[in-house]
Amino acid sequence: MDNWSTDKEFLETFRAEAEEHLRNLNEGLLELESSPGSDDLVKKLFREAHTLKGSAGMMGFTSIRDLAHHAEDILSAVQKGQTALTKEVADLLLESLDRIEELLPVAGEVDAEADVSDLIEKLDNVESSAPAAGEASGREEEQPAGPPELSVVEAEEATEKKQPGEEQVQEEEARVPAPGAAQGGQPPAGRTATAASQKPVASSAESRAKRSDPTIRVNIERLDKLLNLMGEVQVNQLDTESQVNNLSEIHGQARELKDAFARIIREVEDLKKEIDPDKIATLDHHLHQADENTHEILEKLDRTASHIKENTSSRKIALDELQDRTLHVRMLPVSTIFGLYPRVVRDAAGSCGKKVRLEMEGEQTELDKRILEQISDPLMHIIRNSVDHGIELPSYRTQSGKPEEGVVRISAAQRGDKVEITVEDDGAGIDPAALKRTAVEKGLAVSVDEISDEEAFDLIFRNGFSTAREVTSISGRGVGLDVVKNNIEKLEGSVNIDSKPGTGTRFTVSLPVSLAIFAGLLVDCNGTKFVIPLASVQEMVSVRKSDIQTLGNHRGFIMRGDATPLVDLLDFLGGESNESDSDSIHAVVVGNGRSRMALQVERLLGEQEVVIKSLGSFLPRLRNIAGITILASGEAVVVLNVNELISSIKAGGETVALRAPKDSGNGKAVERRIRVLVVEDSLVVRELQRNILESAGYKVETAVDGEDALAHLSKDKIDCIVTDLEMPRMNGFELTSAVRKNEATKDTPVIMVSSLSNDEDKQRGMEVGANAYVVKGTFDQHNLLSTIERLVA
Amino acid sequence: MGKLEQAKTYGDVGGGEIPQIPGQEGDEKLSYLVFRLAGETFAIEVEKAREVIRAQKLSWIPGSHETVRGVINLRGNIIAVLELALLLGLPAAEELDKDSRIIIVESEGMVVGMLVDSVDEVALVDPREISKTMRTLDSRQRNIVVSQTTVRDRIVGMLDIDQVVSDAREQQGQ
Repeated sequence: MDNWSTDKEFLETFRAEAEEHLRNLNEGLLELESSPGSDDLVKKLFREAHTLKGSAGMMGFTSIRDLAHHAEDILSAVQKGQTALTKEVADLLLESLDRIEELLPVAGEVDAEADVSDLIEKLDNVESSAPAAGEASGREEEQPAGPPELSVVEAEEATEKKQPGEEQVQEEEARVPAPGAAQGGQPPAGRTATAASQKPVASSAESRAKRSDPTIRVNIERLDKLLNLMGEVQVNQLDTESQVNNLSEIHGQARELKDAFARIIREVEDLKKEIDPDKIATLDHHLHQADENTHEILEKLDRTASHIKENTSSRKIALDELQDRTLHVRMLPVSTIFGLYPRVVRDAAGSCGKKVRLEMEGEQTELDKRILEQISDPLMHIIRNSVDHGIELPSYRTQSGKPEEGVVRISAAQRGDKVEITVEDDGAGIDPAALKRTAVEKGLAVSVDEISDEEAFDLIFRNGFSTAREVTSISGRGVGLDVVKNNIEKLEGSVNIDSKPGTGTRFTVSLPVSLAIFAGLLVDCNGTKFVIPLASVQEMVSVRKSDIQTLGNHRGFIMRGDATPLVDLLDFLGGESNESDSDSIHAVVVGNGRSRMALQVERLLGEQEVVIKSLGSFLPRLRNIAGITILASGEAVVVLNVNELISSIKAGGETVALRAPKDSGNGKAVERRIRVLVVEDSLVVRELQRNILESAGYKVETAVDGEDALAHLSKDKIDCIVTDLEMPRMNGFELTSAVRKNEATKDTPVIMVSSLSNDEDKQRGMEVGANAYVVKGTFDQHNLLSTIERLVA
Repeated sequence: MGKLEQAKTYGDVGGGEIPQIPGQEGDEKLSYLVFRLAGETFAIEVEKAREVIRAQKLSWIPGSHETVRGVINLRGNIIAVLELALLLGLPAAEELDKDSRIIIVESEGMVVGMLVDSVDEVALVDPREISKTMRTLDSRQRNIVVSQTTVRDRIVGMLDIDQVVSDAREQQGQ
């Protein structure tokens, strides 16, 4: 066997888990002995043995696997009533458990193939006394031990790690004692249940002492709770800090009061000389009393304030560290998912007849477990993509002077508060010119000159955009990459492609280290506050209105020689922004490596510690929003997902290059553009839809109601109809049904747009033959555009 | 908890006294929380309301459906506040005022708030005085307003909270 892992971390995980199974098996067997007959318990033990067998098999620990397998078979027979759990059988099982315990990897040393034939023989004897047992367990083996759990820990177990180099293997083997030695000195396990039960405890304590890094498994929900509480405390701390400021203010006021008393006393001194001395003496007495009181208050206030201030600042230091450490508990090295990829590469390469070597780097880089869990699949897709479409066939590689074996290289590194994971191949690369041609063919642009190379690479992430001549069983180069991008953006990450034809392709995935707590910039837009994660903020600028250039409905300005798109944040998000009188505006420049844009805000309110909360159980996840944070004042503020926002903005306007042609009306590309008929009685909505669709490159016709639409349809060839429901003369349902009845238009896609999601309407719409039903409330441009794209593709 | 005590709780939390309708407390009477919305009067069973709070500044959530006015921070929990008026086909209040209240309800494990113009009282209603709703109601209301009664000569529409929440949830596209 050469596939057992020498990676210490995997060994640790395996050992921790195996110990848990052994403990449960030991306890369970003893319990069964004292009170036999619990079917559930036998079933549970069977599962424990089964799982142990499975993970030992994955790790290549054949001896452990075989022992666990036999134990499983016997337990299966017991479960089916084919074998009685006699004392002898129980002893034998316990002895097997002890042996497994001895075989567990300790401090990186493994004896994967220790000789356990003596025990196996005995176990076989028990089994042969129950002939049907083996067959029964054979069936069981097909089934998973329990409901599959998706977690990184599970993934680790199912993983074959990258194989060590030859020398390393030999070195390892040299250190491992010979099989004979491992088993030789071991006396048979105790014959009584008590002796057997004590033994594992002793030996596990012994081996634990040798271990450098004991681990404990904690339910992540407990950690979440901890972090949430941490957040509450932090918010509370911020509040206390502002209260300390109040104290100093009160102190100041008390001092003024004292000064006032001093002045009054001086004036009374003067008065004494002129008026009734007795009355004055009483007044004088009261005044001095008051003055003294103020003095005392002042001193106490001063002491208390400075005390609280000291407390608060030292607590802040402790809290910050506590928060860091709490966050760190949730972090796992990326090696926990990288471990899956050698297998992925081997399988993908095998299925398309390629030779591919996988190189990995920076596996110790840590990420929040939640991010790690959700990034595994997108990365796997990218890796498969690189093998399938990046690396060339061996014959082709040899011809073009490359080594026969291609290389896919995954590396991870932390950069500031982001982690960057790159997947690089030395394959054929992607020709931006081909991408540009496809873009023009698909009517996304009028000419190839309009598109920069970078924009061309970004096109790969668009739904349905693929240059692969044939789509293989694994993936077309572009197939599924839109999903990859979406999933990465949900994690507040970004993904970019770089490629040189002939040399290779590099995917760069950038992710936040943690989604739970981070620094943000608090901004105000006409009374609505937002938090922009600081990690995405490049700088904050003030732009003179006279420097803002307008191009169609796009705005931008020149920043250090580069054209930077300017977007009114509140306006884009659907709020009402008000135009300020001042001659300059504030903007936050955000970006993710490649795309940069400026978000116009009304005011910058400052930096803010962000403890992120979800939108709650009622609201669905919403695009462009990362979550909610609570300010010290108690106000709930939306935290933006900047990467998603950038994508949304780009999709909404298709910014410069992919916009509708400036000189529309001529040229072949224009002729080929898809024609959409917008049927809508409201002028405002109609123009809005026309803008959206034209920006996305469609040719748009409009009609004011169903009858008008039919008139258009009889004259023009229309590729897609977008219609409102309620309209004068002929409504959307009647129109759709008329469109379906006409031979010339019966296959034209119809999209119904309604102001409310009403099941009856939806039902009726589908009945008369509408292809899609879009609700205006959720009517972001993306939704409508992707629906059209889907229907006319 | 007796009905009277419960009523008192609402008075406290809502920041103002909610007058209790005088009347004999009997087992046969049911407690309803009576509130106003766009000039009409509605009620929900008192047991369905977790608490009533003064309407505070709501944080608008971009991209959410118009039937969600925004969210509030209720003791560290983020709660979506429904624009109940829109769900009933009535015009939503432009501005919140000193009488505006948020009724916090729980349905299907989800805690949400409902924005109302004012909370009047907790009324004891004789079940025999509860009748079916009239057919003239707006189609959206018909789903939600399940019955009606009369309190102080006003017609009160009685809401099915679970239906309100599930209708609203549907609007969110999920």
